[in-house]
Order: sequence, then C-alpha cells, then structure tokens
Amino acid sequence: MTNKPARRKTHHIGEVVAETLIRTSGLSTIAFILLIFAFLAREGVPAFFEVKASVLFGTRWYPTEGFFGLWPLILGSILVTVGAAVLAVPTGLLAAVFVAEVSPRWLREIVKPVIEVLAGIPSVVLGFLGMLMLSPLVRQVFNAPTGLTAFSGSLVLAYMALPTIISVAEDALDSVPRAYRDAALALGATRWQTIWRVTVPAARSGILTAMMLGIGRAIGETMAVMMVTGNAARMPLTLDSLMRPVRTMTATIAAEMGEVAQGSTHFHVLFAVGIILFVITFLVNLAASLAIFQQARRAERLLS
Amino acid sequence: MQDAIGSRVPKIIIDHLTFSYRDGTEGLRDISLNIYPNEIMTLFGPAGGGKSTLLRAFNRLNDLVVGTRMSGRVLLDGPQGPEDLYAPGVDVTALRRRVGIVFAQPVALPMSIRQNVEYGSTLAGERDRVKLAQTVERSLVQAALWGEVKDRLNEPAIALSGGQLQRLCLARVLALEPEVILLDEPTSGLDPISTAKVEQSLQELKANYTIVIAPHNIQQAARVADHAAFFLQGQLIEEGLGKALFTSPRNKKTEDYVTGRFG
Amino acid sequence: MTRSRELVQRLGFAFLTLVTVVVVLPIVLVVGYIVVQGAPAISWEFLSQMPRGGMREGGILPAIVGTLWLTAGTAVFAVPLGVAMAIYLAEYASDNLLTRLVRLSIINLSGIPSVVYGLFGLGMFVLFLGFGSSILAGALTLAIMTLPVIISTSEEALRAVPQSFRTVSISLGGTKWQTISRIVLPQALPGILTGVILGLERAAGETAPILFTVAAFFLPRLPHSVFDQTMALPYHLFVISTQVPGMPVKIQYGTALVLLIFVLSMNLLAAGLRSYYRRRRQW
Repeated sequence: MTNKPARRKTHHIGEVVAETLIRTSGLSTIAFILLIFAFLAREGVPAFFEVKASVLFGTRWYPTEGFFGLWPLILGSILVTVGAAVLAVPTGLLAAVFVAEVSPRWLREIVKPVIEVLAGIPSVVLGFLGMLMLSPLVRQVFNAPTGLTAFSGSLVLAYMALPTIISVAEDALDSVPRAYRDAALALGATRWQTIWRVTVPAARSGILTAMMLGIGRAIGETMAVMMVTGNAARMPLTLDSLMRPVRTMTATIAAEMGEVAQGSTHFHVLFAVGIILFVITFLVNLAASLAIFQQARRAERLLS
Repeated sequence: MQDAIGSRVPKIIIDHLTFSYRDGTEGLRDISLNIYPNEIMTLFGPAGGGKSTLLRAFNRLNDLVVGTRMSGRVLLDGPQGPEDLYAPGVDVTALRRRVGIVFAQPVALPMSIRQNVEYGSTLAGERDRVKLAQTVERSLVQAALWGEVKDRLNEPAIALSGGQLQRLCLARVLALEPEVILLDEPTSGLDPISTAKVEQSLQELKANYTIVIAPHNIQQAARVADHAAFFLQGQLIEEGLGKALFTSPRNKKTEDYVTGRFG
Repeated sequence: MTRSRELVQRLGFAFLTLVTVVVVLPIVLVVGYIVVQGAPAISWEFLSQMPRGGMREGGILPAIVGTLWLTAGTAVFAVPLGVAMAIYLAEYASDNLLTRLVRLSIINLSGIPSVVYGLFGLGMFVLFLGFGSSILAGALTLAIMTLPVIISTSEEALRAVPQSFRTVSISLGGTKWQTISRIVLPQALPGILTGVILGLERAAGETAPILFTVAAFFLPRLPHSVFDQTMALPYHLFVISTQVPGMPVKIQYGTALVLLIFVLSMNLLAAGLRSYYRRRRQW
C-alpha cells in the first residue's frame, strides 16, 4: 500500500545484542538452582547406595568407624533452630511493633540503622564472640559442664535471625493502610488496642513471611553455630540436651569436609547432608514465597 | 459524516476504527473522521468518551498497553499519499517523531532544560552541536518560552513552574518538527494566564502543523476549535465547524452537553 | 474504665521498649567490646605485614589482600549478571508463569545455606570445571550467592523510576532500549550501587562458601593470580580462634575488628550514598 519510513540502521545492532543478553540472563537463576541441585546430587546420591539405609537412619554419627547415622545431626539442627525460633519470633515481632507503631520518628532513625548493623556483622564474628564471651556466661549461669551448648547456639542464632524478622515484619506493619488505624481510633480504641486487634492481624501474612524467612536463615547458619554448640554429635532427646553440646547439619559439613578424602563414602555422605539442607530450605522458602504471592493477590482484590 | 470543505486532502483519516481493552471495555466504537491540515481539531465530551484513546491511536502509544484489540484503519497523509499506520512493518519510532504528543501532566525529564528539548533529536541520532542549539532555540521560541529560560538553559528542568513546564513539553515535541501535534488536556493544571499563553501558541502553530486537542473543559474547546467532534461513551456523535457545533448543534445529545444539561 | 485501659497501654508500650532495648543494646555492646579489645592490636604493622611465628605474631596482610581479591572477583561476576537480570524483571518480563518461576528461584537462591553454596562451589568449580581451590572458584561461588541481593535491590531501584519518564521517551520516538539506557538505568544507578555494596559486604564476611573453594590458612605469600589459593579475613579469624593453640587474644580481637571495620564501612558507604542521591534526585 505505501512505503515505509526509513529505519535507523546504526542503533539496531547494539540494541538487539543488548536485549538478547538481557533476556537470556533473565532465565539464569532457574539454571543456577538446577545446577546447584544437580551438583549436590552428583556427589550426594552415591551415599545412598554406598551406605545401608539402616546405618544412614541410625543414631550414631561416627564417620571414622563407618557410622553415618544422620539423626543426631538432623535433630541437632532442629533443636537449635526451634530454640532460636522460640527466642527470636516473639522478640522480633515485639521489636517490629515497637519500631513501626510506637517509637517516635527520631528514635526510629536510630534503631533501624543499629539493627541493620547487626545484619551486617559476619557470622564468624558473632560466633567468635559467642565462644569467648557468651559460653562462659552460660556455663556460670546455668551451672552446666560446658558453655558450648545447644542453648548457646539458639541464643546466637536468634540474634542472627532478628534483623530479618524485624525488617520484614516492620515492612508488613508499615503497609497496613492508615485508614484501618484511623477507623479503629475513631471508634474509641486506644493505640494499644488498635495495634493488637487491627494492625497486627491485618499484617499477619507479612509477619508470617518474616518468621519463615528468619527461621530459614537460622536453619542455614553455619559458622556461628559451629563455634558455639560444642560439636558433639549426640542424639538430643531429653530436655537437658539444651544444656549439652550438639551438632548441626551445617556444622558437620563445615567441620569435616576439610579432612575428608575426595570421592570417599564420607565425602558423599556430607554431600547428602547438603541435599537434605537444600530440600528443607527449599520447602521453607517455597512456603514463604507462596505466602507473599497470596498476600499480593489479596491486596489486589482489596484495592480493585 | 463529512463536511463540505472542498477538495482539501485530510491529514488524518480515521476509517471505522473500533478499539477495545483487555477487559473488554470498548474505548472506541466505529469511529470515522477526517482531520484536516493547518487547523485545530477539538475532540470534546465528558470523561470516558474515548478522546484520549483516539489521540493515542494516532501515534500508536496504545501499543504500550497490553491486550488491546482494534479494527479499522488510521491513515496519515505523507509525501507518498496516505499510509496505514497499523500496517505491518511500519517504523513506529519514526511515526512518533511525525506525530508528537503533549500530556495532561507536564513531565520534566531528569535533565537540564536544554537537554529536555534536545532529547528527541538525540534519540534520532543528531549529534551536531550547532544544529542542536539552533533546534533548542527555535523550539523554545515557538513554544513562547525562550524569553523566560534563555539564560538558564543548563538548569534542571524540574525547577520550572507548571505553566513553563507544559510549554517546555510543547517545545520538546516541536524540536522534532512533527507534522501533527496532539494535546491531551494540556492546560488542565494551569492557571488562566499560562492557559492563554498555550492557546495563543496553538493559534500561531496551526499555520505549519495539524493540531488535535482534547481539552478538559468545554470552554477551551469552544475557544480554540476550527473543527470540533463530540464524543460520548466511545462513539462519535457529531462533528462540524467549530463555531457551528457549539452555537447550533444538530444532535440533541450534543446540545444537552453543550448547554450543560449533563457533564 | 478508661484509666485502666490507659494503664494497660502505658505498661504495654514500656514492655515493647524494654524488648527493643534487649535487642539493640547487645549490638552496641558487641561492637564496642570488639573495638575496645581489638584496637590495641591495630597498627600499621598489623595491617601491612605478613604473619610470623605460626600466625601468632606480625600482621594479617595476606588475609586482607585475599578478602579484597575475593570481593572484587565477586563484583566482576555478580554485578553485570545481577543488573541485567533486574533490568529483565523490571522492564521486559511479562506477568506469566515463567516470570513467576524466575522470581521463585531468586527467593530460593537467597535462602540456600552458605555451606551448601560451599559444597556446590566445590563440586562445580573446584572439581568439575577443574579450577581447583582458587580465587576464581571462590569468587564464582560467592557471586552466585550474592546474586539475589543485587537483583532485588536493583529491580526495586529500576521500578522506582517514574513510569512517566518512559512514556515521554517513547512518545518522542525512543525505542525501549534507548529509554532504558538513557533515562531509566542512569536514574536507578544510585539505588543499584547501594544494593551492590550491600551484597558485596555480605560476600566479604562469609566463611562457609570459601572453606572448600579457596581458603588456605598458612600461605607465606600473596596470591599472584586468580588460580591461586588465598587467605581471607573471615576464615583467618575462624582458624586462629579455634584451631591455633596459644594464639594471643589481642590478635584474635584485632582480626575481628579489622573484619568488622571492613564490613561496616561498606554499610556506612551504602547508607551515605542512599541519602546523598535521594537529596539530589530530580523527581
């Protein structure tokens, strides 16, 4: 029908190249997740063939004598993480409520950076201090044989999870619309009542996400836990195990990989522990992201 | 719905254009209209009538919205006759340099006044500093802004007032020497003096450009229109010579709107 | 009636304040304690000399240099890829299943334990690709670990640029890439930079990923190339505090302080950049 106006040739090649690079990079994270799982599986799956199931699911972890029971490690991780969650979740929530709802503006500008500082402190530094300062304290206060216990681990882990919990929960509380608070106050509620009956429930999926992310962080922590929990691979079955040394999955890998012959059974079992960790954190993060997506969809419905 | 103006060639021909959005709402229903060069065509009517949608059909800005569908044709007159803007293979970026648009909210790009006006030209590949400087001056003169900013061209554009900013946006478009200038509620946020300045510029510009404006109130529509078209809920109700449409409309709905019985 | 509610509120607020103090105070004490105990060890010799006497004397120069190498290497790999991904998510991706999968995988990458990254790095870079225990392997491992942080902060920075800029640019005849390269990306650069610094700060302080991929304890010389092993500050602190008998406490605290200063100054830099550019923003 007609002629086309002239195109600018010079720009097009560079643009096409740039856009292609960007589009391919867009899919690379999926590739990385698959790669990570693939390499873990490559070295870890042989463990399930080389070690009998009865041994793997046994209760003794003593690699030098061929005992590769995973339960002490799994339960050790669970114990320390649960302890950290019990300490960090309420504390984090309360602190987030303080920062988001109660504190005056000037105080917020001081508290928030300090919490960000905590987020930045490397775990090896916290483990170092925990070892030198916290565990003697724990030993004295609780009259325990040693200060390197599951409880010390939980304490340090709780501190490491706090910044995550506080900042995500605080964001969730901040995004509750002003109208909710104003409506409650207009009906005669005090600020305290408004917080607990209106604002916090409204932010509950974001708060839940905060807790899951914080717990996910705690499960995956390595160095601090390793330096503070004593690294004895026992089965923590009784309550006083809290005050005894314990071994987590992460610490096991970190501590033993350096002394392991490449390709040996021990080597493969350590990778298998890595697979377990990968799967656990994958599930926790899946749950957290589903909560985030659901919250976004709910917000869309509210606003439309 | 043609009006007898002789054998002038329209600049834009809209031929049975229907346009709908992803959720099914119809922006435009079977619109046929001619827009002639060197005139101001006013599209007026209550909100939701399709005026903005139609404007954006002229420079294919609707392409940015996902999931829209259209049927019918939009033809732009060029050196080789009318071209279908939606034909496959049309160079959309070149089209947007021929058909420029000024939005309701003036937007200062985060750069200096000079760089704002130059921006379109630099996008097109112009690098000659002398030519760029000439373009900047010409455009700002045409937009009646040169006097106020000629000594501070290198200051950030965000420092300008609302009225100055809108004239800057006009200068930005003029720098590309388009053939058609679209204006979507251009003075809705401006004071009467700035509004008058913009309307004055349009009267001077129409000698060299085709101007299509969708004003935000009917008074402006009546002031500037050489031709006018009344839109209601996506349909073209009536069109004709400007003064006639406002003083003695033929359609009852037009008359009701013009006299203020609804709005 | 109202007086008892007021009392409840007063007590409640006081309790919240107490909890927050319990959270915040130890942070200050921890940092303060390290400063106090570690400062005596800091001297120009400490920072610029090689260690002697089985690490018990002298300086920690190789650890500092190693950490700098690793941080730079992480930046080289993670920044281009991460920023490109952020541009993809913010400007090109449509809201479909694939995009949601990409976002899911980013969240998952950020949740993987650092020691699992170490295993991955060992399996893929050290063994499979044959780089051996090297700065290259360590930097690549750290880079993948740092990607999620860079991607999410960069995407946020890109989305913060007003949509009206893009519309105006397109309406003046710009292509999508011209709009991104001339307006969106430059405007988002401060936010991107902040995110990059925060990501690198985290990478600099990590121990587990470098345990099996690069770190060595006693290297009598500085690294020459990316294929060398190297010492690194976090690993150095770990070893001297847990595995070297008779290590002077002063040196341990000194090393911890150097690491802390390195990491926290990046924190400060990022925060400073953020507020500087917020003030100079033209929108």
